[in-house]
Amino acid sequence: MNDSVFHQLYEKYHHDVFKFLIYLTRNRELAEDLVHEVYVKVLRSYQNFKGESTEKTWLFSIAKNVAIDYFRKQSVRRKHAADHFDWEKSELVGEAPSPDEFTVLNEQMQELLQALDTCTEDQKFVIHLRFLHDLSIIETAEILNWTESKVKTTQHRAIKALRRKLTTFPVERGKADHAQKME
Amino acid sequence: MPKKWSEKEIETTFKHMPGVKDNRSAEEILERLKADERLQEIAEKKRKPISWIPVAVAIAAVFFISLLIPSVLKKISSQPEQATNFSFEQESKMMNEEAEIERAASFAEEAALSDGNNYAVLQETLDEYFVFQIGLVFNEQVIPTSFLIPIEKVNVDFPNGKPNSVQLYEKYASKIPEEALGFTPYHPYGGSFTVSGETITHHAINDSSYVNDPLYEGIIRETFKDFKQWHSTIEREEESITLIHLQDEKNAFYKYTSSTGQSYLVKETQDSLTVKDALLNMATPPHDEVEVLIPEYVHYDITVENKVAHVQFHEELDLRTMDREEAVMLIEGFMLTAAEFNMRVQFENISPSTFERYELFAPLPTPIGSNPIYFSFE
Repeated sequence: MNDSVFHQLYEKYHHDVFKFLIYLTRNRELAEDLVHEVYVKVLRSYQNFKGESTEKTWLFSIAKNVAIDYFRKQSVRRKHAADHFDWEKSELVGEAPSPDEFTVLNEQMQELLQALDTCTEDQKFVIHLRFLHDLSIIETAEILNWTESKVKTTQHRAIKALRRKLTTFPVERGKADHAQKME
Repeated sequence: MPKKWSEKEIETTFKHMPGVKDNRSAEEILERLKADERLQEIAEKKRKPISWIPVAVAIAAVFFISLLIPSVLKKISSQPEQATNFSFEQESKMMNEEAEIERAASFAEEAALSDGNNYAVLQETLDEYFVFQIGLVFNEQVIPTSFLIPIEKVNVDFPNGKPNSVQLYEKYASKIPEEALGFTPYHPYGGSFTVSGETITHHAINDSSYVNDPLYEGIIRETFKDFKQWHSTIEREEESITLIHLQDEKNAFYKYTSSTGQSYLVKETQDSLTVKDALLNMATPPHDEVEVLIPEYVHYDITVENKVAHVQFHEELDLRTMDREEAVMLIEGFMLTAAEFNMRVQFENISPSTFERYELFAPLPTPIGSNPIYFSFE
């Protein structure tokens, strides 16, 4: 393993990638595990990196794939858990608690993140990359392997969807969110 | 009352979310990586000499398979009835017999309802109905919808002859109960429309927000298909702000399922330059909000001849092994995609030869619309 490659990537991108993963998962321990997976993938394939994209977008696209992998596996597990659901042990499928950083966010920020949780996977990624990480449309398109036009459309749809969710009464929004998750 | 959020506020609030730092040091992270076997493997692989034994085993296996395949193929071709069910039997090994019987029974029961749900509107519908096409919206997805209005009703509403899409829109768009039908209210657009030759001009009212909506173009394309160009002008500004070529985008069809469980066939852009591209693109979802209509285990090629796109399945596709709705969506999705290029579609290596209203051994008709809704606009 090449330590100097690790140190170089760590210096430049570690905190950005970690922030990306912790905002997606809202779980510090999980974000640490996923960032480890990102490094494993990056270090295993670093010699094949051809520089067709920037190092930054390459790293983010790997982080995005690692996150997608994790969420898809979780979703399969949840479906399996639902098939064999045991009401006595319902806490087994409960959500992990948010780390301290998220409990100190102001009410508006918390509300916004909750609404974002109910958006589609595409919409979540665009919002994270464009606004939480301030990446350009071109960078976002490279990371998600989309056209720039798709980034713009999805971003617009996401903001509209969030606005709609946020201006609905909380109780109604809860129902709508549930319906959307079931979808 | 909940707080009123503006789009700008949403963007700004996200941008001001605090940074969350990893509390571990670089050394801690590196230590964990060094302990990961997957990274040790790389170093070992670099040092390890090539072992010829697995290579030799692989070569022997390929040789053995190459001897075996012709005899297997010969056996299949000498038993045509069994060969017909070959792929189904292979697939069904994964299932238990009971599930298979249940699925077959459910298919038979559904298939008996030959006038069940369809997703394509055929020419023959025009004997009794007039088709009013419009782009409706569900959760930011444009659904190309066809309202089937009884001919008598349209004759009364338009005594001077067959209406064009602008006249239909002006007459009926305001009467569509979009919310009651489960759609997002979008229609009718404000302002007025003028027609000059093959161009429609939309004189939008002062609020131009809907003209800038990214769904606007998709909705317009699905609503005014009988014209070639679309201009939008803002009343106060007196200048053309949008020009849409209404007939230059050709797309592939996919399945979209709303949160209410209703399925629709929808179009998505995938850079389909030719009918072949579009029909092949149908096997790949453009994003995760739509699904492909072709089962994962089905592979096919496309050839085009005399305005007919031939879909050749690699292995015989027996529609009776599919859910009725899935089978209809597959057939009609191909038909609608080919129709985007004014072409018909013909399937090869498919059974049965007749499926509900379709004779599958011949080129299928060109649909004139999608996602029909019978509505009288009384």
